[in-house]
Amino acid sequence: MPGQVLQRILYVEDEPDIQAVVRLALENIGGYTLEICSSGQEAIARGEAFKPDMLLLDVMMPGLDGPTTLKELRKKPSLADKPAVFMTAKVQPQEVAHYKEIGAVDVIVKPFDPTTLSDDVNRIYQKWLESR
Amino acid sequence: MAADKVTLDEQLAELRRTYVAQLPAKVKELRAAHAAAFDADFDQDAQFKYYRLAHSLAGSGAIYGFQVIGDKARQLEQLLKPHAELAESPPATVVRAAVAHLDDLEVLVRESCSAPA
Repeated sequence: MPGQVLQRILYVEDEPDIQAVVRLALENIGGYTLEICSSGQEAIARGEAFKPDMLLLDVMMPGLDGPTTLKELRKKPSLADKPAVFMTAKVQPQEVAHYKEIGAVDVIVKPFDPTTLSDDVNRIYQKWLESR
Repeated sequence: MAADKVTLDEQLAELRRTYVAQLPAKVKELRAAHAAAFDADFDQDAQFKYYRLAHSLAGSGAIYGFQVIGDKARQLEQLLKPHAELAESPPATVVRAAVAHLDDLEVLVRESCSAPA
């Protein structure tokens, strides 16, 4: 699917400090349009209307965690096939394998480098496009 | 591009300054959470909140470039995790170890706050 450009990212993260850095990295550096949701419930309520190209989710959140949130987002027809990426410090090989089993295309390791995050996200998106 | 880079670096530096200024309050909040969880009768909800706060500091500390603070908070998080997840009262050794981590965090935060930006 050549020519398809990543523009809109639905980002789910409960930590305001981390939201601020990711907003700077993805909006200011990457030029993406970001919709930040502070909980899984918020993402489920607002995700579809935002029409994201990609889902970016923290794993460990109070209430609904990232994997559960993704499972719920997948039930929405327009989000069922969007590439999903987890952001987490839990990146043991079996943990990464589990994230992929439940539908993530890749994992971004925390702590991430804010100056390269937008490139990392775009690389994952392009790789996903090529794999389709 | 160079101008963009300068602006970006400035924005990151500003976020970092704001974060550093908030670090003492974050440790104070951890202390209060510790007290709420363990000082009187054991409170499992307070313990879970304490564990979540440690997790937050572990994640944000490293991302903002304060790796040692993030690592220390991660140690505290890992110490609390099994007890928080099982909603059980930890043994006194764990509570004492948590206090030691909080003491270390306080020192590390003081050093970070006094370091030149």
